[in-house]
Parts: sequence; C-alpha cells; structure tokens
Amino acid sequence: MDTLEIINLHAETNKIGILKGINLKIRSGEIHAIMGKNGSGKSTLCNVIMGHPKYKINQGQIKLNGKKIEKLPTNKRANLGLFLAFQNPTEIQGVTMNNFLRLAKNTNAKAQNKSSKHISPGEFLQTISRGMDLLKMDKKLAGRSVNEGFSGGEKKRAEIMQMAILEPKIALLDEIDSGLDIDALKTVAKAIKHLHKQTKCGILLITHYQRILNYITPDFVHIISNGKIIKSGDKTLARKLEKHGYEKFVKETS
Amino acid sequence: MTIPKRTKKTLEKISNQYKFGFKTDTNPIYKSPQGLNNKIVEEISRQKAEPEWMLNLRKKALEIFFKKPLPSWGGDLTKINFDLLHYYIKPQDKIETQWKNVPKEIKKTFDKLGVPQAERKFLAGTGAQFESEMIYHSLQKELTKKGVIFESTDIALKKYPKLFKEYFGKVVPVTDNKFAALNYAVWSGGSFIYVPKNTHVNLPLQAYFRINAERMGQFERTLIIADEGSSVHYIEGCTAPIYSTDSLHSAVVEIIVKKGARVQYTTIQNWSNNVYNLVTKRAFVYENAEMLWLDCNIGSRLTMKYPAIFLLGENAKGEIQSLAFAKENQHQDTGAKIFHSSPNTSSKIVAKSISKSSGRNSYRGLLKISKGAKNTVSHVSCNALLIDENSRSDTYPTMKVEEESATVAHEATVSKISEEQMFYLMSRGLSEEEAVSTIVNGFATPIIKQLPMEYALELNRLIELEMTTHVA
Amino acid sequence: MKKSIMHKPAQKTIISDDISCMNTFTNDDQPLTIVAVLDKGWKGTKTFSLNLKNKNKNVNFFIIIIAKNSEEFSFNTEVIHEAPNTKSHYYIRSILLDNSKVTYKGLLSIKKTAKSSESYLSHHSLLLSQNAKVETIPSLEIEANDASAGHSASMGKIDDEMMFYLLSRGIDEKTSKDILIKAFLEKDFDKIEDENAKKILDEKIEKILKKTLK
Repeated sequence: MDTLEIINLHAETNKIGILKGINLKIRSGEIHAIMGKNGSGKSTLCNVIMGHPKYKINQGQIKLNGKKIEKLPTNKRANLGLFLAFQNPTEIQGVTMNNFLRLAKNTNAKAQNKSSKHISPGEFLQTISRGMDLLKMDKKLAGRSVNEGFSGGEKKRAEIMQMAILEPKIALLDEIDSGLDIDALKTVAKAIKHLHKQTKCGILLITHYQRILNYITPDFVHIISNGKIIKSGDKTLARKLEKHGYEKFVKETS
Repeated sequence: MTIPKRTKKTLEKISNQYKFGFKTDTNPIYKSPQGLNNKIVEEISRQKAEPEWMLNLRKKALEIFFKKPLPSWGGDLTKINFDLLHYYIKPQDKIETQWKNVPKEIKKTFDKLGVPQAERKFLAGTGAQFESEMIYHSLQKELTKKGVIFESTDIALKKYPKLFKEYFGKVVPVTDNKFAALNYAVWSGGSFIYVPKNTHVNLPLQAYFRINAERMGQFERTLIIADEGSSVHYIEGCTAPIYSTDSLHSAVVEIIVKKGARVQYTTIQNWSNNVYNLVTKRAFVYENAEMLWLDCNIGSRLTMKYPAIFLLGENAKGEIQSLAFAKENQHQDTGAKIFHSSPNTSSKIVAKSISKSSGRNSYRGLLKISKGAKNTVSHVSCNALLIDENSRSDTYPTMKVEEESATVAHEATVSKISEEQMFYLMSRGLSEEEAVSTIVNGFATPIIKQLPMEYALELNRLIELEMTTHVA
Repeated sequence: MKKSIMHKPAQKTIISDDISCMNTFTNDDQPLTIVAVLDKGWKGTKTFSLNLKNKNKNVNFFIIIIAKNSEEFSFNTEVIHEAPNTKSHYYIRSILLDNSKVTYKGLLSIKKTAKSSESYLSHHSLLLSQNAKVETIPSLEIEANDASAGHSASMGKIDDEMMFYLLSRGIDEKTSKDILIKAFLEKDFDKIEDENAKKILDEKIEKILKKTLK
C-alpha cells in the first residue's frame, strides 16, 4: 500500500502565492479528481509535487509512504514511484523516444533495487511496442525525437504510454484530456483504467471538464479554487459541478 | 522579383518628394563666420553669457576634437569640410513663451511644419529650435506647478546651475568620440528636462529642430533626468531645407533613469539629403527602471546613430526599436548598444530597415553581458527589406556574453518583397504599386504603431509617398 | 589531421578534427559538406575565406566546438557569393566549460551578380561554467535583392523545462545534462544527408563528451 500525503501545502512563484494550504491524501488504488477553473492552482499542484524548480514551497509538507520528499530532487521523486503526465509535454530534439525511455526504465529499476530487471535494447523494443499498442500509436514515433513534431493528441498518448512503461505507484495526470477528440479520449481513458487495474496505482486526475469522468470513475472529487480545496465529495460532486458551475461552490464556501 | 519598367520609372519620378525642402529668409542676430577655432568657441560662450567652467570645457573639447581622427568604420565622412560650416547662428534675441511673439518668418516656417497645432492638441509642452537656439518654449501650467522642468539647455544652465552641473556630461564623456567632443565645444540649444520623484508627465513633451541656413552646423545638447518613480515621454522631430551644399547635425543626448522611473525617447528624423547626421545618445538605467528608445530615421545623407542603454541596477529593462529607410544616395548606419552589468535585467532590440534604389542600410549592434549579470534575458531581431536590385543591407551585430546564467537570442533576416504576398494582394485587386506599398507598410507597422497617433499617421504617409505614385 | 572522405554521386562529406579543413574547396559545382569537430583550442585567430564563383555551388559547414580548461577558439569565416544560385550554410554550435573562450566572426556577403543565392549562418552556444566567455559577430552584407540571407545566434544555459522533463522520469541530473548537451551539439545533423557520416559523428562526439564531461 502506497500513500501520497500533502499537508498544508503553500507554494509561490515569482513572489506570487499560488497554493494556499492544500491538504490531500491519495492511497494505492484510489482515483482522485481535482477540478477547478484556469488559474485555480491545479496544474501548479502537480508541478510542485514533482519539484519543478520555478516554484518555492514556503509552508507545508509532501510525504510519500511517510517519507518527506519536498526537499528531494525531481529525479529521486520519480525513482520513488511518482509520475507526472505533463499538460504541455516539451519537445527534446536529438533524443529518441526509445533511448530516453529505456534509460528511464533502467534507472528506475536500479534505484528500486530490481537489478534483475535491466532491459536490453531488444527487450525494450517489445516493451515499448506493447505500450504503443495500448495507446493505438504509430510505432514509427518510437524512433523520433521525444515529442518532436507530435500533434497535441499524440503527445498526450505518449505521456500515458510512458506511464505504462514506467509503472509508477502514484500518477499525477495534468489535464490529460485537453486537446483530445472523442476517439483519442476513449483510447487514453481505457489505457489509464487498464493500468490502474493492473498496477493498483493511485491516480490524481486534474481536469476542468466533466467529460473524462464519464470514462474514468473517480473515488473522490475535490474542487480547487484560488489555491485551496474548497469542497470534497464523491463522484456525484462532479455531476453537481457540471450542473451548477464553479461559482456556486465558490460562493458557498466563501 | 524584378521591378517592371513602368514601376521603376514611377519610383524614380517621385523620389525625393521632400516637402520640407523650402527655406526661409531671416535676419539672424548673429552668425558666426565659417570655420572652427578657439575664437569662435569663445564668442559662442560670450553670446550666451556662460559661467567660466562651461567655457573651459568647450575649449578643452575643441582640442580633443582636433586631435581625434575620423572613425575608420561606418559611413563616408571624408567629404565633410569642417572649415566651410557656420557653427553658430542666433536667429533672435530671446526665447518666446507665447507663440504670437515669435518672429514672423520663423513662425511661418513652423506653421508650415504643423508644430504649434500639435501642441494645442496632443502635447504637454513644446520646444522649437531654429538654427542654433530654441526660439519657443512652453510647458503646461500644472506641470510647472509639480516641479517639472522643461527648458532649453542654455536657460537651464543659468536657471538651475547646481542641478545642471550635477548631471551634465556624466553619461557621455567629452572624450567619448570625435563628434561628442565637437558637440561639447559648440553645443547650443536642445532640451533640459527634469521630472521630480513620483511625478508622471502623461502627455508627451516635444521638441522640433529646424536647420535653415546653408552650410549650417546644429549641435543641440539634450539632458533628461527622471527622478525615482517618475515617467516621461519625449519626442523630437527634425527637418531642413534642401541645399546643394552640406550641413552637419551632431547632437548629444544624455538620459538618467533613476530607480523605478520610466523614460521613452522618440525620434522622427527627416533631415534633407544634404545633412550629415552624427548623434551620440546614451541612457543610464538604474534599479527597476525602464528605458525605451524609439528611433525612426528616414532622412539625411548619412546618419550614424547607435542609441545605447547601460542597465546598471537590478531588474532594469531596456528596449530599442528602430526603423530606418534609405533611398538613393542615402546611407543609414544605425544600430543599438545594450550593456548588462546587473542581475535580472532584460533587454529587447527590434531593428527594421527598408532599402530602395541605391539606398544603403547598415545595422551595427553591440550586446554585452558582463559576468555577474545573472539571469539576464535578451532578445535581438533585425529584419531588412530590399525593395529593388540596387539597394543594399549590412548587418554587424556583436554579442559578448560572460555570464553563464544569461539567455541571449538573436536573429536577422534580409529579404525581398515576398512574391506570394504580392500575388495575394494583387489577386484582391490592388495595383502593383499599392501592393508594394501595403507590404512595406506592414513591415514597418510593428514599430510605427508605437508612435503617438498623429506621428504614426505622418510617418506612414511619408513612407507611402516614397513608395507609390504621387497623386496630384 | 584526421580526415575521412565519403563519396556519394551527388554529395561529398568531409569530417575532420582540425578546422583547417575549411580551406578545402573544389572548383566544381558539386555540393560539399564539411564537418569539423573541435575539442582543442589554438593560439591566435584563424581566418577562412570562400568565394563562390561557380554557378549552383552548394556548401554546408558544420562546426562543433567542445571548449574546456583555458582553451581559446578564435576564428573568422567569410563567404562571398559572386555567382548566381549559390548556397552556403554555416551551422556552428559550441559548449563552453571552465575558463574557455570562443570568439567568432562570420561574414556572409552576397554580391549583385549572385542572383537567387542563399546564405545562412547560425551560432548557438551553451555556457556551462561561470568563467566561460563567448563573443560572436555574425555579419551580413547583401547587395542582391533577389537573394535570401539570415543568421541567428543564441547563448544560454541548458533549458529548464527539458531538464525537468528528464528528471521527472527518474533520470539523474548528470545523465540528464549529458543527454541534453549531446542533443544540443547534434541538433543540426538532420541536415547532413550522408547517414554513415552521421553515425561516425555521433560516435566521435559521444567519445569526446564522455572524456570531457567527467
């Protein structure tokens, strides 16, 4: 059983406070949806958990399995089993998807002392092939530079394909549904559900639309506004939000 | 794209449509004989009743001017005959503050140029310089009450001696270059502006410079001090009559932008084709302060001008936007210089040039980031448009980076008018001339749109005039 | 001076670790590609001039500089297009460590007679130490309006977002940096046609980086 705990988290960037006291607990197997308007701090939350250098934590803690991680470098957090699916994945020219992911896989295996799990290039080709099948991606993309020339939809699929290969304990999915058409959304959602069932990972799903929650049923729904979680509930909360909009909840809790 | 014969002929016909080419007959109070020597410098100082320290500085500067050689780079300065110029012409006895009191002939000149009308509508204050002296100066009453100073530099020397001496010559030293030394020796006129702390001058201050006599040298000296937290926008425009002999304009502009202040300096230079325009412009920018040079050069035979910004305090910002237009027998040798020596500073240079007929545009830039200027961000972009087969463009940017956390990006392009754009516009019914004019206009727009509206309109019109058939 | 020459019917590619290879030039109209991988500085400034007098000549120069210790790399290149339809491209990338210095002046000149010619230059540098210095003056002198020319230059550090992306996948800081430095140096290689040459270059650069980025 893995647990990610966020305790009274305050964070700022460029001296502007964005997170103003977030409290959250995600366990293995749980799916938490975080919904909020643009600028509410939901993407920032993911980036701060992962340790993006542009944010500074001025109060609070992040604990993974009881261990404080807010001072750990980003790669160590990944080694411990955290994964971030980026909202806008960056392109890295000159580094192939294949080589990059094989390196990541082997590095993580080593860090987790699964030395028997070192993968050769040949074996890895099979692994990545399976991942790409799951996301219905063109196999040619594995030989391309990371995200280079990928369409918006392909980039999002590539993020979940990476999740399939790296098998994290807790996955943070930052607006994985944005920019996806219906078919792509169905494929991506199906893949996420499959991985969730297989690995029992915990999932933090950031979104501002109800749509993806039609395919992935959350166990918990939290509404974030102005850097704070203002209401938590179960999946029915998402439907209420769809019906009444954010303003109602913001008014209720202010 | 080769320009068809018809268009070529039209372009030739309307070149040099310089509407400011008229000259005015005046009787100046004093006109120095041709040539330059100690006696003339002493006479200038005497005519102005200056304190001794200024006369001594002028004499020292003259020595430096004679000693220094002409620069070996840039435009062709070898044809300037320094002995034939008049270095000081005083058009009237004193500066008027009421337009009706300005001598008739001079008033006519400026009326033709549209100056006083602009003042009534759009400006906070106006200065007008004719030959060597400011003949008119006015400033809105409320600004005077707030302690804003906007005077001719000569008056400021007398009225505010302490303030003047504190800042004069601190940004551009007398030894800086040959033409700065010349300016130090024979400077006359120009604007002195002081904006007190936290005072914002919301409408632009303007000065208009006119050379009228033949073989004239105009050497205005401008000094702007924006005290902490203040802001001001200064606009200068300049024109001269067309003569077959040469004139020289060699100005020095010094600007000090103190902590948290903001200064914008806009120039619309439209000297006639017989003027050599050699200017030294420099600003010191301190903590959290901002400087913007907006420099438009469409006239003169040769302009050599490289506005400079020294970012001396943390978080200082500097921006230089320049537009240069060169047609036959014109050489615009312009550029920008920015020095980063403090952390978290940023700068931006946008230089656009248009070359037509045998016009030549050269861009000379320097971007220096010293060690310790942590997290500097700088972006430079230079775009040159060559209209026809005889035009020329040169670009010489220098980048020196000694700080590892700095990020600098620079790009430059030189191109002709795009065939696809021409085809698109003509397929919508525009004639070839109209299409060329539209494209040139679009190219210059990012810079022109930052000018106050009436200047933007005027500049657009001037450029359009150079590009299309003249409608009688 | 090590030199390997690969001949292909339409393309000649030369790889060298000495910058003097830039003086290689054949008076024909065959396209020419020269790649110099430099990891040893020199004293003084080296100058390389090229006059393109043959119609349709196409030249591509790739210069990769890995500067360390107190080494200095000072060089000037000059290309003058005189004949029509000629093309020249200079792709220069440098990484600077320790107290090293790169000083480069590159002039692209297109004369009136060089109709429809093309000339581009790019110089991108990564500064990897506090005392490294780079000075670059890419210049253009264009007299033919029926030509296209341009240049770009940049100096900076390793991109933060790219580092974060690699780190977020568990790759450690040094490995992430090494990956990005190599990718930076090889970024223009997609413009090299000869696949074999690309492989040789990749191995060459990998070897030098392994030694240098300890």
